[in-house]
Amino acid sequence: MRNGVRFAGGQKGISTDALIDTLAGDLSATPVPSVRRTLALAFAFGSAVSAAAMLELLGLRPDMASALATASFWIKLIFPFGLAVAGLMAVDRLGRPGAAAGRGYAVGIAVAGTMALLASVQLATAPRDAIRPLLLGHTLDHCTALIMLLALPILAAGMYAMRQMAPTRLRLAGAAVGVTAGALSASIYAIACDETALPFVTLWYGAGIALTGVLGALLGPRLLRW
Amino acid sequence: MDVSAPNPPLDALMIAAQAGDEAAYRALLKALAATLRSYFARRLGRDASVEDLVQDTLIAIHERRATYDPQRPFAAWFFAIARYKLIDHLRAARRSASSPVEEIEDIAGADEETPASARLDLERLLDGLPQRSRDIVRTVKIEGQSVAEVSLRSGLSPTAIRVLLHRAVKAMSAKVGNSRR
Repeated sequence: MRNGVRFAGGQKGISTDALIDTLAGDLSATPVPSVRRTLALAFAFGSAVSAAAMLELLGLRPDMASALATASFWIKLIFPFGLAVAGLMAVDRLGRPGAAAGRGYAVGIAVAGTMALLASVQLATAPRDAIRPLLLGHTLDHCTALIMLLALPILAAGMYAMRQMAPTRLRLAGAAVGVTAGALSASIYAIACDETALPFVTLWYGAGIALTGVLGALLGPRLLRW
Repeated sequence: MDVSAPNPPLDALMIAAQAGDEAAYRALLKALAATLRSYFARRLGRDASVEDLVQDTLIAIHERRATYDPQRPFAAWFFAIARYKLIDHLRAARRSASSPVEEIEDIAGADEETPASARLDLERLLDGLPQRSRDIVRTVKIEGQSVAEVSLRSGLSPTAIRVLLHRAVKAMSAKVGNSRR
């Protein structure tokens, strides 16, 4: 079979040697954009759509001016953003055949662990009757759902970018895109949300990010085949 | 990474290819084709699909060449792609016991004696394809025109046409496989 596939009508198809000639000739004819650039553009575009949707649907938190001076505002922004950085590191690796996502996991675990620690400290030092509001806040009915909703444009753009790459573990690659989308969305949502309790943020922002990750894992094998 | 260690030849060829060196790329693809042929043959035995799989994998390597990170070993990247393509092939093969690709080509290659029902099946399969792919399958596989002719007329590069053709046949075989289940 060295001479390649047989095509319809008994005529000879492309031999592998001819294919190699074609591909080699195509090398400089079709330059391929850098993988990192494609990823960066896609996630930036998705985040811009998501931020516009946030401003349109929710607006900035009412106490924005005074919130800028509080630690909880910045922690709420930095926690999901740290997870997004970890997610992007994993996405960059999982989109390349033969690479493991090692460092992305480490950063993600460090960020989530730090956040859980801060939340535990706040819980441990709170008076007994303050614990419930610290955990449940006052926006529990829509917080997680809105983070997932705002993640959708980022998830779509991220999946599009991942399709240009070459993931070999599709479920894992999908999950990494999902976590990144959820984490970027949570950073955007943090600007509209006036919750201040760290346990609330850890639990329910975390849930929004994790569920978007699950959604990505479910979609991965369907969307990312190549 | 240790910069003083000399790169294995394939890594060097790939890096040169990524910088646009066509000769290096051609040499690399030749070497990879031979490696792939024995890699797939060892796992599939004397199977007619080995050469198809070699070509499919070479096209994949070409299209996804930007995902190779020059700081990492080339062999890991290359064999991960070969393995992915092999698994994909085995999965598709398991879905239908017979080889659907050949079957489609038999249908497509049939002449006047083709029963009307086979023609209808073919039309239905073709309908599931995007317009451009459908036209290419028609002109190349059914009317028997060469890729070069179609390339001249459509303005698409021969690679693009071969890739579209390849994909279209794959999509059609997947459909045949699915309806069998």
